[in-house]
Amino acid sequence: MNPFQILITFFILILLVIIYRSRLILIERFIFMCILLGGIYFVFSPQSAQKMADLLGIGRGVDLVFYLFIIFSLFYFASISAKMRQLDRILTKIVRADAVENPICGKELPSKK
Amino acid sequence: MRAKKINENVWVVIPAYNEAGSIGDVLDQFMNEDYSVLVVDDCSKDNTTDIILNYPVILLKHSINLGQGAALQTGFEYILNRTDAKYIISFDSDGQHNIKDIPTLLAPLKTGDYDVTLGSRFLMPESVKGMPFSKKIILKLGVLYTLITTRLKLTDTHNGLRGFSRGTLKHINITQNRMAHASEILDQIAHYKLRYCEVPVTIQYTEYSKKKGQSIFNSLNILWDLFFGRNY
Repeated sequence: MNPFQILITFFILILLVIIYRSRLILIERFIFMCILLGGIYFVFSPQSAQKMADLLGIGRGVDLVFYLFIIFSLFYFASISAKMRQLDRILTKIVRADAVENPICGKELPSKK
Repeated sequence: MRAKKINENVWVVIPAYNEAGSIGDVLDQFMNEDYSVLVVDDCSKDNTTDIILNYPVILLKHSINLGQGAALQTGFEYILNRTDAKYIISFDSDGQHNIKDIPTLLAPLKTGDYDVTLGSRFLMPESVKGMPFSKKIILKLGVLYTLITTRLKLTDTHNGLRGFSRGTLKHINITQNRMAHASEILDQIAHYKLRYCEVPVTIQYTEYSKKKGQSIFNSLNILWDLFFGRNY
């Protein structure tokens, strides 16, 4: 076991704890934890990544891991963006309802409503 | 200051954000006119709100800053739900619009032949005179973009001065909180096949409005909003 493997494993384990204790829904937590455990597995057994890469016709094991990382990141970016837009819409609705419910009359406006 | 009853048929919606330098002048214009005025303060950090409250207007206040599109939509919803307005005008708060153009916007609506009137500075040669060249290019790109995406043949697509009939406003639902709402309104005009026309309006390019206006970089932001606003 080389120092790099220990370091990476240490960080992944911290992430695992964070994910495990997070407020994500069960399925999300499960997917994240699988990915992290997969990461630890690849760190300790680079040959298995290589074997899988050969199976898929990709040059090196590192490339395979890298491609998976890109695909996962893009997917996650898209889902976060969607979530943010959804929050944005909700926030707008709340702020708007508050503004419409509480009109303020300026000076000398004949009373009406 | 005014004894006569305010005309509740025509409502003017003015979205404002940090416009302490101009909002007073804008509202001064309305003092001797017969329009109901609704100002939507988009959580200004300067004393815009205090200035507005010195005028006989109705003020709606966003508790956080959402953007001009959101402020307009807030104004529209108030007018549809709380007033009997027949015609609604959107008017910018940075002092570039002239109140004298409002009757020009209202005239086609009052005939019943049109649902929406859009102000165009390019139909009035004097309006374009003081315009910086870079601004002209950006606006023309906006025209081209609109032609491609909505097939609407317009001369000015990013003019804040517009008129709507009440029935039309029910179709308009601005979800683009920031500046992309101008294109969104046009999209909806095309989508609901609303009857529209452009009318010539003046634009005053004061130093203040030039400073507050949209820069080239912001046009890129608007494009970004449009693309990513649609995809998700």
